[in-house]
Amino acid sequence: MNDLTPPLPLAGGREPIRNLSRRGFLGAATGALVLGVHLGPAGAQERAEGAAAIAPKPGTRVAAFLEMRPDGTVRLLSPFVEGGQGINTGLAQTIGEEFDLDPARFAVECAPPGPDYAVVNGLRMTGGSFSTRSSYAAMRRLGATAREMMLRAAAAKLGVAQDQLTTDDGRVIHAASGRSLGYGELAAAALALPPRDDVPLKDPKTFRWIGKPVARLDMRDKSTGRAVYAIDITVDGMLHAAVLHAPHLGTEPQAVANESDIRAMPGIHSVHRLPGAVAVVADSWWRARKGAEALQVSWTNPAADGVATVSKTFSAAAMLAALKGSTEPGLSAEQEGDVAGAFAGAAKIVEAEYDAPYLAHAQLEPPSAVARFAADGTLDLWLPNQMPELFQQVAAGVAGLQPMQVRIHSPLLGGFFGRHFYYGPANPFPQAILLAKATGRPVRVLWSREEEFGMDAVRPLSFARFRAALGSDGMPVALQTTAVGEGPIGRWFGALFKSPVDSSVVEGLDKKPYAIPNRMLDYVKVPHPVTIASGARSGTR
Amino acid sequence: MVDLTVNSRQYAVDAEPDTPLLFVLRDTLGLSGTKYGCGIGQCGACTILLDGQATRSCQVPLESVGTQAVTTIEAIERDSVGARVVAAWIGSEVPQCGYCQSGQVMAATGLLKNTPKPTEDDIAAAMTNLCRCGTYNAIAAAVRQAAA
Repeated sequence: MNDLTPPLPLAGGREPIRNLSRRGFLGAATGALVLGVHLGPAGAQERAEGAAAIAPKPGTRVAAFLEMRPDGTVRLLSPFVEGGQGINTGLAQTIGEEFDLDPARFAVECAPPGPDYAVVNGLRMTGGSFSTRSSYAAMRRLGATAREMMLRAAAAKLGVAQDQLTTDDGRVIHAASGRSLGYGELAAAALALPPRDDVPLKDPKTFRWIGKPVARLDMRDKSTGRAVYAIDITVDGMLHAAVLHAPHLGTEPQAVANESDIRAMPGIHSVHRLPGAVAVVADSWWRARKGAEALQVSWTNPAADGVATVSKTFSAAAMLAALKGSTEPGLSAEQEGDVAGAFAGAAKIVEAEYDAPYLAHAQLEPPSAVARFAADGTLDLWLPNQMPELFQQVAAGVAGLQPMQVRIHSPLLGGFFGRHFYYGPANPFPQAILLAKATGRPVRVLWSREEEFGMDAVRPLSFARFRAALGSDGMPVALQTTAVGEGPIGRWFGALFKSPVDSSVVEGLDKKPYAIPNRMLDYVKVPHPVTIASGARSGTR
Repeated sequence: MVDLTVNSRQYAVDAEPDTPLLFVLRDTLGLSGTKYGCGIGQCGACTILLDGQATRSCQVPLESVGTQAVTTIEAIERDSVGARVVAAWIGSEVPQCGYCQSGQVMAATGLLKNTPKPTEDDIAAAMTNLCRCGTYNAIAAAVRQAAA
């Protein structure tokens, strides 16, 4: 595991989970930024939620998670966002087990920003294949705590001792008198009770749902077109925006030669200059897109050459050549034994070079965002995201608001694979905020597939050089690895993590279990001029 | 105004004649179950039935629809074959993120309406929609189940 990863909360004294590095590391790293949010200047979240909410222990305040409905179903506000990984069902299974409510009775939504949901090592994010592992203990306890509150409320209502009561799938039962009360009937009284923090958990041998096959909750909606993604959100009075981005990242629009022609096209509302882009706003997205495609924009000039920026001649081949040609001395990421000595005495030396290309996430839902300012100046934002608090903070900065004045709505994700973290110019939501401000209307920005492939934050092209020293028996005695490039952790979280070695470049190359006594791993930083990202893609991260 | 029959309902649509049917469905009629994925007829997320034939609606200009009956995912369970396909999709728990699955269900329904007992080759030839989550095996199993 990467040494930046905080210790995992482990139940039952199990061994720490090893080999989480590829996935677990991301959770830790991105989560730390949320910590930054909470330590931010405003302390807005705490004020917004009142004194009672100051520093709630995440995952413990039952009312922040569960809303009982009169029909015996429950609305669960989830710390995580569902994007096909099944976490909504998983949480219903975990909480339902201890709460004693059939997972099928849960309706799960991604919760708004708030400290209650920071259940990933005290932080909040969806990613790294980490949601169940990080929240399992807390969510079981939440369910058990909520069940105990139902029992306590029922005991008061029925005038019996609490230990005479049992539960069965959403009902509290007093077997002696044959009376029972549904959770829905008890909810108001139960949620007013102070939660206990010492409620025992179930014996896993008695589990009904955890570890058992449970039908996923979203199958019908997703098989009948009813599932709602960010791209499907509409609000009253909403305008649609299509965007034309600069052909070279980092260049800016200078002039639009045919703006009056564009404005005369059917349904066009307005044309706007944005950072690195021009937007056409219309009464439908197709009309906006036709306008955007007809734009004649002159852009500032990119650099003539080189890979320090996206220059006129920049290409993946040029970038790979730059990585291969780097003569910078490396920073030591790992060092063990006497590598130089082992190579000097080697019977044979084997050398190899490996590279992997830039890759887009290619999630099927093109990215979009809907921004709507309320009359009081606060902002509603619907957008695909894996970290609501981070997006809230960035959106507030773009809108000139405090984070508490931004309401983040996180619909289902039409695939994510790491796409929906914050990656600067790879996110459409700042454009939606700027356009909603400029037009005084709610605006949906939707990037065409072409714009998405142009603007997606890509997994960085990477390059590594290996040298192995073999002994006379043919077994390796030394391994020297040099990784050249830049990774998303260094790019987006470098200011938080002081380590000069970019862990997202060397992960997988480091901490090898092989019995090679002499090892050396160096990192050579060569920045990419393009927007780079984390992402899950078969066989590569 | 262009007249359109969608899910057995008549509409008069105010849009340019070259507007892709996909965006008429989504943005004008509010039938957002049909998805935009690529806009160039490759991914199949926008698949609908046009007179019973699976068709990529991003490639259908509004003016070309004429009197053909448009069926979208919103009405698919009103079709007996479509209802069987949906049941198989749910039974096999096909969807993951689900974004492509409206189109997959429509493509499967189109296949089974025309070829009630498809061979493996028929399934492979008809089910060409992209799924980034990789649910292809589950899709094929659900098509076989719906055909049985």
